[in-house]
Amino acid sequence: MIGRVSRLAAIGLGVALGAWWGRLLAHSKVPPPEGRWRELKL
Amino acid sequence: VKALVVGATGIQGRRATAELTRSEAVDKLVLAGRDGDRLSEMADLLRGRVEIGTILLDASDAAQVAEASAQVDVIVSCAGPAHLTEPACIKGALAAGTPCVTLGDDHSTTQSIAALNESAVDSKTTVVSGCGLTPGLTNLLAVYAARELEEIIEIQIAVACSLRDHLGSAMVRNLLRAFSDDARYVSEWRDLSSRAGGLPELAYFPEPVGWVETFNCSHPEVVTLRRRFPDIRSLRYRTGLTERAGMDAIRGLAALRLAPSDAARRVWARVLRAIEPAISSLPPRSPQWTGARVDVRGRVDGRATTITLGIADHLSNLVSATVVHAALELGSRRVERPGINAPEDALDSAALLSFFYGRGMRVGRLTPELFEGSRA
Repeated sequence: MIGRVSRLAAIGLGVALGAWWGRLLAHSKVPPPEGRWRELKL
Repeated sequence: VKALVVGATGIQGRRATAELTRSEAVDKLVLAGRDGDRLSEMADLLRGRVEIGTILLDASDAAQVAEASAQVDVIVSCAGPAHLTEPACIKGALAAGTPCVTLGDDHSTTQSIAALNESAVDSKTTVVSGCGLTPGLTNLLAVYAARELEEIIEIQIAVACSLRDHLGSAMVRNLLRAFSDDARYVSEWRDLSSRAGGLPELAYFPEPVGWVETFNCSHPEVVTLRRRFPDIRSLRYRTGLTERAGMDAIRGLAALRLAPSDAARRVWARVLRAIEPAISSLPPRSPQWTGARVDVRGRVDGRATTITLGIADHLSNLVSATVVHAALELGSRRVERPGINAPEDALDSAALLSFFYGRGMRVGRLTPELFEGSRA
C-alpha cells in the first residue's frame, strides 16, 4: 500500500514538474516587438 | 543640504548614499543602519568633500528616527520592508519636524499612513512616500503622459525586475507579501479586488528587458493615482520577474500560503537568493535589467489615444535617481507641501525626467509599428 502511494506521488510530482518545464519551454518564444521605443524628447 | 539616510547599508541605501555624495547641494550625510561595522566601512569609503557621520538606528523605532533627524534637512528612508519601517520613519520625521522621503512600496501601508496626514499638516512637515521606481517614477510617468490628454480613461502600470539586478531581500519579501494578498484595482469606475496573480500577461518593456510575463497585484500606485484621477475607469498594476521560474516560485509560495509572516518571507527570500543561479539557468534566457512601462489611455479632441512611456535600466539606478531627486527637492526647500504626499502630488514630473536625462537615463515612448514577424 505504502509502495503504491509513494509510486503515485512520484508520478504526480513527475507530471507536475514536466508540465512546468513544458510551460517554461513553450513560453520561451516571445511575440515580435509591439512597436519601437523612441526616445522621449523633453 | 544635510541628509539622514535610514537603511544606508541596504542595497538601495548604499546606492542612494553614493548618489547623494555626488550632488554639490549635499554638505553632510548621516548614515543610519543596524550594522555598525558596515556603516564605518561605508563612511571610510565615502569620506571626501561631503562630511559623513554614522549612527546606529532601528528603522522600525520612531523615537530613534526622531532623535537622529533633529539636526538634518531631510530624511531619506531606504529601509524596508515598508510595512515594518515606513510608519516609524514617518512618525519620527513628524516628531522632529523634518521633511522625509521614503521608498514605501506597500499598498496597505500607503493606505494606513494617510491617517498621519493631519499630524504632518499640523507640524508643517512635508513627507513624500514612495519615491523609488515603483511607486515613484511610475507615478510621475503616468502624470507626465496624462498631460497630453484631455480626459483620462485608463492607466496600466507594469514593472519587470530581475533577481540578479540588485533585487534586495526587502523587495523580494514585499513581492511575496503582495502576491499573498488580494490585488486591488479599478474596473468600470469601481474599486475591486481579486486574488493576486491570476493569468499571465506579456508586457513589452524597452530593450534589453523586452517581453516579460506580468501578474496582477496590489501596489501604492492604485491608491494614489486613484486619488489623482478620481473619474478614472480602469487602473491596474502588474509586475513580474524576468526569471520566469523565479516568478513561478513566488506565485507558488504565495498560492500555497507558505509566506504568511515576515519571518517566513525572510527565510524564502534567503532561499530564493541561494538558488538564484539555478533559477537563472532555466529557460527562457532572462535579462539582468529592470523595466517599467506606463500605458495611459484617454481622449484628445474626442479621439481615443494611448500614450505608452517606458524605461529600462538597473534597478538601483532607477530607484536612487528618483529618491535622491526627491530628497534634494525637499532638503533645499524647493518643495514644501506639509502633509503625507504621493510623489505625483509633490514632485514635478518634468523636473524628475530632466534629472534622469542629466544622468544619461532616457525614457522611451512606444510607437506602434508593423514588423515582419507580426504579419504571419
